[in-house]
Parts: sequence; structure tokens; C-alpha cells
Amino acid sequence: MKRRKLKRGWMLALCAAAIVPLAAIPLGWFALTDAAMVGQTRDQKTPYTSIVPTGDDYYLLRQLNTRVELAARGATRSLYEEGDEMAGMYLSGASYIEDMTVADSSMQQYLQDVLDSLSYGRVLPSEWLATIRAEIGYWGSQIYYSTDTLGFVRLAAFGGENQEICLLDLEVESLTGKVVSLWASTEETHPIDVGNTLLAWVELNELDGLGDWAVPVGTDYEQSGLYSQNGQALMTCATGMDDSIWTQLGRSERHYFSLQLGPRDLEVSQ
Amino acid sequence: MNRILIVEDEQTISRLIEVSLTRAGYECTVANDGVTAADLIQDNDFDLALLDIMLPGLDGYDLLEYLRPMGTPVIFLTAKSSVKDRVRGLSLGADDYLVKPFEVEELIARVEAVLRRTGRGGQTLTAFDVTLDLTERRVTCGGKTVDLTPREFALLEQLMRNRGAALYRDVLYERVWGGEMADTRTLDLHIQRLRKKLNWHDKIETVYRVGYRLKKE
Amino acid sequence: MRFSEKLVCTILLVVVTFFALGGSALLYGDFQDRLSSLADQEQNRHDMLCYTLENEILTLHRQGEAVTESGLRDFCADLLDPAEGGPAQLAALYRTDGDAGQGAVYSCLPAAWEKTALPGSDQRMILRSGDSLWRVYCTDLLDDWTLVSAYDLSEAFDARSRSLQRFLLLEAAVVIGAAAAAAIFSRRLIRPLAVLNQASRRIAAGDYALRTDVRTDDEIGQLSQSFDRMAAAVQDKVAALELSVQQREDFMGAFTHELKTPMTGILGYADLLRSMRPDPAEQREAARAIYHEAHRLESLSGKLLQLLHLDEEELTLEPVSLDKAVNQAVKAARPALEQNGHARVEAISTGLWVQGDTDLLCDLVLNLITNAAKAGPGGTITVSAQQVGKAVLLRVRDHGCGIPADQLARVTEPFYMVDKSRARKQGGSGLGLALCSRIAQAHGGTLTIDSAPGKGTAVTVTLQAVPAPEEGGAL
Repeated sequence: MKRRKLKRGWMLALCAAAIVPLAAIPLGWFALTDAAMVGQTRDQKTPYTSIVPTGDDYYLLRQLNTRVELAARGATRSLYEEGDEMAGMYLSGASYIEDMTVADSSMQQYLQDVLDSLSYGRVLPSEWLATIRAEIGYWGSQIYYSTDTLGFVRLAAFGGENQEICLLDLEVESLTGKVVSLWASTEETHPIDVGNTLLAWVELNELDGLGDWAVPVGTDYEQSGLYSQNGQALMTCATGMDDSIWTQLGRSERHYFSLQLGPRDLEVSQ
Repeated sequence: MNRILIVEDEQTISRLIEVSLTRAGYECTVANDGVTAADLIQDNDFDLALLDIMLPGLDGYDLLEYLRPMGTPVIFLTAKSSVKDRVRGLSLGADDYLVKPFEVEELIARVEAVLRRTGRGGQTLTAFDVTLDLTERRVTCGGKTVDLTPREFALLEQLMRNRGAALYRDVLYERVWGGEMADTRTLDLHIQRLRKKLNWHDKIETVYRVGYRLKKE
Repeated sequence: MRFSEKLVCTILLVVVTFFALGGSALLYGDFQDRLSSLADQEQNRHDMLCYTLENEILTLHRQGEAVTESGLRDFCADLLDPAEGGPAQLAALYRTDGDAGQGAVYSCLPAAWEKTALPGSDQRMILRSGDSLWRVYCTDLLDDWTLVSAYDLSEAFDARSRSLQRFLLLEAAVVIGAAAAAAIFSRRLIRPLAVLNQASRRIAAGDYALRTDVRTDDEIGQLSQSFDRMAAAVQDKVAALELSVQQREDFMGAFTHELKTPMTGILGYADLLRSMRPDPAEQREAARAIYHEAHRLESLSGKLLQLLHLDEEELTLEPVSLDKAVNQAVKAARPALEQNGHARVEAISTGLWVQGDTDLLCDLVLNLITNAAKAGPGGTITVSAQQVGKAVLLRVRDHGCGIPADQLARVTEPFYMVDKSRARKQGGSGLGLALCSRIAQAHGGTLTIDSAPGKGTAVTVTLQAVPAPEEGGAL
């Protein structure tokens, strides 16, 4: 009898002891789910889509576009046309030696800085920089410059007996200090890596934000260019034989190195 | 003379009891069924009733109801031997209980015992001038006490109970000494002593080839 | 443990389990919903932050100004400073390109969060900082900038713990309520069982007439009914048992009586004879008594043996000529008939055949004739038979004293005698009709007695008829 009573007491205690943990199921449940939740990586439901920039979003490209547009109108048209969005007048900088100004020392230093920054940015290979400097030194050339109304600065150096050889022709956007085109004529030539050079140039010009620089397959620039559909801009880099120069000695055999950045609408085959 | 009522539906048995008790010196009345017995009880005064339990008409238990107010002692005769029946009979006021088949000797002994217990005589047996007191186990001859051994007393009792009957030697021996008779001398010797002590030389007769007999008066 | 307690415990366990599980699911669902709506909010704010930053970057580009770390740091500091509505917002800006990727350009995230532990771009995760949990979003912006923002989830967690608290209180109330309800319910349910239990105990103690009588229309009610039926069956059985014990006792009593009475006579007279030399008349009486009593014993033992035999052995029945059996019996009955007032027997030959045992049939008829002869002097005893359908009715009829109607039913009981002293005189043992009845039973028939006091008795035995064999030995 006593044993049965004892057993009954045990059973009741056991029942009560079972009820408490059962009642606490929610606590355990949440502890478990919380533990599972913390530190677990998930994809965002609606991930943020970055703004797709256009050429106009970049000062440099916008300047170039404006220049092209204004140039297309021609400087001869009336300066203030009614209803014209392009309010203003564009006067391009001179590109002939006769109209250019001889650079003073600060301007010369500016050129050196620009060239250095190109070289430093691995856009202009150092051997080409050395060759260009050597050419300029060889001819003892003066540095000329001209500016246009949009703020592009053209820097140039000429060689030859009658200054008929354009040794260096460089355009810099004055506000940002970015080079938009470079032409160098030399006796020597060096091999270049077009792809990497162009990528380095994109970065130097801080245009990588456009995000879609690619080789324009199926166009003439397949070998020498990078094209951004978003920015509608083309960058080219090329070397080659420059046989367009006639000197007193006849057709001269020279090499060139060229960088070009400009607005362009290409039909790129995908 | 004690009057005894025998109520027994089996005539053989009732006759046997009647013969035996009459010989032992009782006055017997026989009834073969309960109703007759009840009538007899109404009209007579009995010292003892021997009742068979299974009777036609009124059974033994009913008759006991009749007899109890009159104070007549009762001995049940029955074939039933179960304790239940015995207890019932005794609790109803029966004085004794005898289970069939019984021996006549035992019946007589019980009858005497009951009579003695209820103070209705049966204490003494008398023949000629000899009185045998069963309760005090004393024998007087002409008013004088006679010293008897227990065997002699038992032998005398047997003879007095069966007065006039020629008793066989072996039965006498069996009843007094118990068991088979070893030799006749012991019995003869005791008879001789009895004759001498009671001066009954001619009263205890020797019956040729049978045994002994106590003469009738 | 009592059954009601078991019931209560079980119900409580089940209720608590399901309530807790259901509550958990409900609370969890609510919590998830809240987290998810917060996530939408957070995503909006994160996207807004992303957009604002990208816009700033693009603005700088557009203006041709350099995007510098210090510029963005100041910008972020300005942007995040004002306390907006909604959960607290923390953010960090990283520069992912090149070597500068390790350090944050701007960060107000907890210092414990390593850059490597933070989610990748377009991913989110929940991180702990001290007591609070934060959901962290990460997105790569333009120009190799990576923005990480974190939002405090404390509000959701606080709300959840408040709900949980309320739920636990509710649960406690439910458990107490369920315990009370289950206790009442189980007690009500168990009351009939207690009644049954008590009743069964009392029945076991001998109160066979007791019934439970629980009237519910469920299994317990059915149990009660079954129990009552069982109790009734037990009562009947016990009564039957008691009756059978009574019958056995009666039989034994009668038997001992029948056995011991002649034995007493034999012993008494034999003792008389051996103890003294009686006179010739006495001697003859004694010898006569001994003879008769011994004869009674002999006939008693014979009939008893026959009865026992009938009880024990299976009879093999075969076609029997009824005439042959009757004739045999009549022949055997002659000495007894001569003794009892010279009754005449008239046996009507029928030529019928029955399925039976010749010796037993003969005994049957003999007993009936003897009985009839004892019934009264002088009359004619008629033994006849007739076929009714498939049965043969064998009838023994006398014109004797008859049997009183109140004793008619008992005359087939062993040792029952209508007139005992008369039966004794005629050497009857009281077993004759019992034996006849038993023989009839063994033949698959019945024994019926029609009688009226003073007019005689007709005993009819039904037997199974069979067609007479073609070449049967008649008689």
C-alpha cells in the first residue's frame, strides 16, 4: 500500500515535471531559430541596382561631346541663336604652329607633368616616353600650346628643318587634367600592349564607372579600341608607320604612337 | 420398568429394537410413522423416545418439537451421518444420536446412559436378592455389599441384562474382556466366583454346548 | 496511480504539447512576418543609401571633380548623422579595389564585426552586437565602392518577447483550466467504474442478486449491462450449483438410508442370533429378517449399478422387436406377479420394431410391470404399443391405487417412494421408476405418467420407430 502510494507520488511528480518543459516549447523554439538565424548569409530580396551612368555623367565625356556638337555647328553661325540649347560660342584652339603660343616654363612643366602622369598610369610606356623626349631634345623643339573655349589645351612640339614634322600633339582637358588625345611621331618604335594600355587609360581618366568598356568586335577598332556603349565613347591606342610627312629629303620614314578618346556611336556586334 | 417409544418406519429395524429392548427389561411401544407416533405421544407418557429422522408423514425433527415441552429425552436414529445433521439434531434438543447401522449392544448402552443422565432410572438392575447399581458400580446381595472385580461386575451385568437367555460363551467373553476368547477357563473361573460370592450356585445355569444363563424368576 | 489521475495527466500533457506547439507556430509566424516587413523597410533604406551615395559619386564625376575617400567619408558622416524615423541605422563604406580594401573609408559599425564576417554584395545577414541583433546589408556601388548598412532588430525581438510573456501567462491559465476541467470530467467518467468495482466486490463476497444498473449509452453502460448479465449468469449458475449440491445431498441421504437400514437389520438380527440361543420362533423371525434385508440390498445394488452403467456408457442402439422385449419381460415378471396378488398381464402384440437395446428395453418393461403389480391387487396390467409418426408409444397400464397428483413429479427421483412402508413390504428400493426414466432417456425418448388415485396409472414411454427388417427373427 505504501509502495503504491509512493509510486503514485512519483508518477504525479513526473507528470508535473513533464508539463513544465512542454510548456516551455516556445522558448526552446525561439532559441533554436535565433541561433539558426544569426550569422546566416542570405540574398537580398530586392538587391539594389546601381545607377547606369551615361557619357554625360562624366565631365570629360560631356566636354568632348559638347566640343563635337559645337564644332559641327561651325563657328561661323550666329553666336546666340534663338531656342538653341547650346547657348554659347565655341572657338576651337589652333592646331597650326603659326597660331599657337610658345609655352613658357610653367606650361612646359605642365606638359612634363601630364606626360609623367600618363607614364605613371602605365598608359604611355616608359620607352615611348623616353623616345618622345629624346626626339624633342634632338630637334631642340619649342613647345607650343593653344586653348579653346571649352577648356581643352593643346600642347604640341614640331621638328624638322621647317618644323614640318609634328613630333607631339597632346590635348588635355584643363579642369580635370586628363589627356583626351596624344600623337607622337618618332624615329624608333616600340611594341605596345594595346588592351592593357587602354584599360589603364580608362582608369586614369576615371571612366571605369561606365562599367562596360569592351573591345568593339566587328568594327574597324577591333584591334586598337575599347568602346563604352553606356558612354558612347571610343578609346583607341595605336602605333604604326607614319608615311604622311614630306620633308625636304622626301618621304620620311617615321613611326607614330597614338591615343584617342572621343564620342562615337558604334554599331557593335554582340 | 421404563417406557420407551420406538418410532421407525422400517419394520425390520423397529422389530429388532423392540425385541432387544424388551429383553433388556424395557416396555416398548412401536410406531411406524410420524402421525401415529404423535398420537401416541399425546396419549402416553414415555420415559424415552427413539426417533428415526426420515419418516413418512411427520419427520423426526417435527416429533422432537412435540416431545420437547414434555421433557421426554430423545435419541435420534438416522442413516445420515453428516456433522450438519448431527449438530441440527443435538441443537434442537436431542439427547443423543445413533447412526445406522448400529449394534444392539450400543443402542442399549446409549438408552441406559440417557435414562441415567435424565434421572429416569436405569441406574439399577435387580435379580432375586441382588441389586446392581450401575452408577455407583456397587453390588448388594440381600442388603450387603459384595466386593466384585470390574470383570466380575461386567459379567454379572451381562447376565442380568439378558435374563433367561442362554448366552454363548464367546459372546460373553467378547463383551466382558473384548476380543477373541483365548481359553474357556477364564470365563468359567469368573462364573464360579460369581456363584460363590452371590450364593447363586443354582441361579446361573450352565447350558450344554452354549454357555450360561441367568434363571428367570 | 488512479485512473482519473492518469486521465488528467494525459489530457494535460496533450493539451500543453499542442498548445505550446500551436502557440510557438503562431508566434513564430508573427515574428517572421514582422522581420520580413522590417526587411522590406530596411531594404528600402539601404537602397536609398546606396542611391544617395552613387548619386554623389556620379555628381562628382559629372562635375569633373575627383571622388576622394575623405570626401565620401564626410558625405557619409553627414548622411547618417541625422536620426531618422525607424530603427537605428549604421553603415560603413569600403573601397574594395586594390590594397585599400581592408580598411573602411567610413564606419560606424560595431568594432567587433570583422570585414570578412560581413555579407557579400547583394547579401544580407543577421549579426549580434552585445545584446542587440542587427540585420546587415551589403551592396557594391559604382567605382569599386562597397556600402554596408546595418539595422537594429531590437524592436522586433522586444515585441516577440512581450508576446511570449503574454503567451506563457495564457498557457499557465490554460493548463490550470484544463486540469480543473479534466479532473471534473474524469471524475464523472469514472464514477460508474467505481460503482462497478464496488458491485463486483460485493458479488464476489456472495451478494449474487446485486446489479450495477449504470445507465449511460457509452462503453461503460455496455460494460455495466454485460456485467449485470454476467452477474445474472453467475447467480443462475450458483443457484443451479446449489440445487445440484442439494440434489446430490438428497440422493446421498436417501442412498445411505436405503443402504444402512437393511444393514442395521441384518447386523442386529445376526448379533441376536450369535449372542444367545433364541427360541425357534425368534430364530425364524431373525433369519427371515436377515434374508429379506439382504435381498433388498442385493436388488438395490443391482439397480444402482444399472443406473451408474447407464450414466457412464454410451448405448449402441439397434433395431429391436418390441414384441420380443415385452414377452421376455412378462416371462421374467411372473414370479413377482405371483407374489403380488396374482395380477394378470395382457401384452398386445404389435409387430413394431424400435431402435434400442433389447436387455434394457426388457428391464424397462419388467420394472414397469413390477411397479404396476405393486400398485394394486387383482387388476389386469395392459402392455400396449402404437406408432405415432416416427415414434412408438409403449404404454403400461394398471388399475391399482394410483399416484397422488402432487407426488407425480417426484416419483422418478431416485429413492422416492409414495408409500414407504408398503414399498418396503414389497421389496421396493425406490429406484425402479428412476431407472425406467433413465432408460427412456438413453433411448432418446421420454417417460410420462398419467395417474389418478384409485383409478390406476398409465406409464407411457416414447421410443424411436424403425421399419421391420425383411427377414427378421420375429420373437
